[in-house]
Amino acid sequence: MNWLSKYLPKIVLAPSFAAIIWFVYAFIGWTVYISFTNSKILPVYEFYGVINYFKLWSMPRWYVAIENLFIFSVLFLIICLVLGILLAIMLDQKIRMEGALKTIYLYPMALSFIVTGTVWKWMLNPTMGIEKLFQDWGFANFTFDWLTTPGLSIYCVVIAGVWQSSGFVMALFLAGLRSIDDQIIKAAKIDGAGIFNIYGKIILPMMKPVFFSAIVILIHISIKSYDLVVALTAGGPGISSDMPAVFMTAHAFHRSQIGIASTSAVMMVMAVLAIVVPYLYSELRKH
Amino acid sequence: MSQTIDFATLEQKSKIKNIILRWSLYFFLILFALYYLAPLYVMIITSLKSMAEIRQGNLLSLPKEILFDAWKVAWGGREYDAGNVYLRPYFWNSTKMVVPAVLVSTFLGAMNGYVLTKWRFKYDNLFFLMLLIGSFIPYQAILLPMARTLGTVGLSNSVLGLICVHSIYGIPFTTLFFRNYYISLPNELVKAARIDGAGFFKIFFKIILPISTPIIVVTVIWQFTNIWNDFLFGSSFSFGEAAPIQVALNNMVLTSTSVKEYNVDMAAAIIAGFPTLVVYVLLGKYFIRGLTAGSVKG
Amino acid sequence: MSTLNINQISKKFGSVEVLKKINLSVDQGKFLVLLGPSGCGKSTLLNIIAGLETLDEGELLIDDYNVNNVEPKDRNIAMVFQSYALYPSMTVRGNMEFGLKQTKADKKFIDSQIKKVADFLKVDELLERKPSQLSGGQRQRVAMGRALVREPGIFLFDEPLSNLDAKLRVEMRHEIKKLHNKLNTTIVYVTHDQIEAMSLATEIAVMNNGIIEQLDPPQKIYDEPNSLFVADFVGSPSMNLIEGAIESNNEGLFFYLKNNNSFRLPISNYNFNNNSYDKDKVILGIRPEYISSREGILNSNYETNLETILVETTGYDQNVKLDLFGQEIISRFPPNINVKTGEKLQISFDLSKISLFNAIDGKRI
Repeated sequence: MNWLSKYLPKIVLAPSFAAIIWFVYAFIGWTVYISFTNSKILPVYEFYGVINYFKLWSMPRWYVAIENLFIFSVLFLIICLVLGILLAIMLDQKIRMEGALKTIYLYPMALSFIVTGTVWKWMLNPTMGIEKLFQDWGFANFTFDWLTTPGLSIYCVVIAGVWQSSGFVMALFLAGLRSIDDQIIKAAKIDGAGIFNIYGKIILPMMKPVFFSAIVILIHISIKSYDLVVALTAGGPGISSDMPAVFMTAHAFHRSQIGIASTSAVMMVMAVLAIVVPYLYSELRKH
Repeated sequence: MSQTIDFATLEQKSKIKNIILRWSLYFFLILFALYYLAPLYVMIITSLKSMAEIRQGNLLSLPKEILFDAWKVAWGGREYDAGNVYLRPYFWNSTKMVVPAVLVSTFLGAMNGYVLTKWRFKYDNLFFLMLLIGSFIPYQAILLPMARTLGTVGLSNSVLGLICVHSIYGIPFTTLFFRNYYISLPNELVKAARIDGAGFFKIFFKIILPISTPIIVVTVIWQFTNIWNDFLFGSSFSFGEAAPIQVALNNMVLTSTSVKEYNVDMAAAIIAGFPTLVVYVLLGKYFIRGLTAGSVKG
Repeated sequence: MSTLNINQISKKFGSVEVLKKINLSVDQGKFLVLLGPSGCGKSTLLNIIAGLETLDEGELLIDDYNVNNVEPKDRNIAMVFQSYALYPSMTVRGNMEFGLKQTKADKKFIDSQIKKVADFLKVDELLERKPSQLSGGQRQRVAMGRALVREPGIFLFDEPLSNLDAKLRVEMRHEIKKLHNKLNTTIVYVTHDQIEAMSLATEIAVMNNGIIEQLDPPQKIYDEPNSLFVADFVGSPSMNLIEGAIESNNEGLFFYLKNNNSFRLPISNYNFNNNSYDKDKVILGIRPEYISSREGILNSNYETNLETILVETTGYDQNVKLDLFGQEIISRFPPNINVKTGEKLQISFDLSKISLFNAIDGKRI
């Protein structure tokens, strides 16, 4: 009985543990190794040094991807936060249709990025989408062809991404708002604070942990952005809306450049770790 | 210090302010609701129009004649149009893939959560941390080795291969959910059962599992949604017949043989998004719980 | 300082009537305590006074103006909460100046007010700290400081001491009393702790199930409770409530037990209200300190022998449970007398402070 209770738990965990060690850590290790080789179509195991890393950072397409990552991340982050917080605060006001509205703001998250990309591709269609809509409404000279304009297509990805993910930020903040001690709000009302001051000076400063969670998750989503870009712009026009994840897949499966692809994957992993590890560390330290 | 307070004016002023605030609140709430609903609305009415109508009208115009032809094409394709992508076989691929993957990853997650919270041992927190990091990594880092592995064991381009992949990479999430849930169950439950003579598995199946319904629902919904909506694994590890529905949808939209058929595209998008949307509408509160539970680590 | 008038205020939550036509008035400088068990409506009434809850019927008058529809911030009130409700992201100074800042007061004025209050409450050393760095007692003082700084017309306290440990509670109770003595503020204070109520109030409103059972100064509530509920609620250990009947004969008025004719208490000197009652259904209330050994009683009106059931010592006296021919009563014995369980002792009764109640409706006779 005792022997079992000592070893059984570990035996039960073993398959999952082994799976994670192999399929996550070992696989990442393999990818890291390959990034140091000159593999093209097939993996080559001869050590090639850090040449790939220099190559990667001298490729114009990679720079486009990185630039797009920044543009997307910053806009995505800021707009999602502002929108999400705004919606959460509004929903916190004891509205009659709260349940229905919550469902409406959040349902995009239930859809896949491909579905989202497909719909917005149609809506942002240069001749028949929003452009035509506004023209029909009387703005005869209205043009909205960002989707097919190099340099502007990345902003379309922002629009679709915000539509999909802002509801999530709203859900996070609404849960946070609801967990605040009622008496603090009563005290503020008696102190004479108007609704804007109550939220601005008292409640939102108390939401710092939620801010951090939301930011970490949003940045995480943007680094991993793949499906949405593929469906919406296919990285285009050309490569103008390329992102690191798209870059990696393209080089891995279509351009027969496994070495470079692995290098870009390693960069992505490092970016994620740079954000997540400090966050996890500070969370665990608290407990 | 006593002040003479003009109660009357104060009462008036705040009444007006409150009314203005209330009205603008509802105004903005509805405005935003329209923003979120617009694409859904557009999807639906576009799928019901003929291509001629689409060209004539605009995004928001209602169909003069409601046609379900686009839906038939999106689902079953055209008889004379072999070679074009349509969704029916891939819908079933996804179904065959989702069910086992959800079951396996949920079950393993429950077991793992149970062990990690009720049968503590040295370094178990380390294990959990390693698991957690596994859920954060961008999957681009494992695409290549996984593709090669699947090829080696003969599972590339197969539904079974996708089932394995989704089951494995679902474990960190499902374990996280169950662990966070079980940690709030009193340890006394297990202790009392052990004193009563029950063993490891008996306690799990007879005591813990029966009170796990909420978290099971949350986990199943989360896994179902993520796996059904997956595109990365599907497009990286399967190419033709074994492809899941999101890959098929994307292919359908991208292939522009002759004329772009937007109504078919929209119908296809609705079909692809329908299952997860229905789950969300019916079980939304569990969906939200999953979202917030996964991000509040503790 | 403001005056407060509550006229016929009623409030329902759903189908539950939480307040039933409450009438109350608080003069300037008075300390009113709303005392009662949970669910009696005291917190709801306080929230209505503050403007945090709406009332369904009745009027609330502050300084003779109907403030039913006036916002909390315009009522010139301040409130101290059970959980202190300090703003976690601000320093103590920030917490205290927040209310004044909302009134767009002059910075110099705000700073001088804060200095004044911080010195008075001895939190001047804590001004730059955040609430999470303070102890429970310090937080409570900051909460009071936040209220004081605005020099409101009425102070509201919502069970402010419930979260403190016993020793701290006594300390803070004294602080609050000192505050009232020094500043002569109008106070409405909610608590379920009758010791707090007795020691702080100038007047206590004992509430039960949405009504006020009695509104009187503390000593009167203690000595002359209006109903069985008040008699039982105030005082620890509670008042003894003995079931019996009243007989009137040529020797005077007597209270006797229905199952034992030998026990007859002379009550001719009792001050009757003109209530009608059934002579056979009467309850006599007498506090433990008026039942004791000969030495423990100032003024013995009646003596008999009773058997002890249980003895509890508190250190400064003994609570001795006695068998009164089938009913149990508690008496107070001085600590130096040796009392054993099962002994039959001579017990003296001081009948100068008894209460008589109608057994059917519980009201004082």
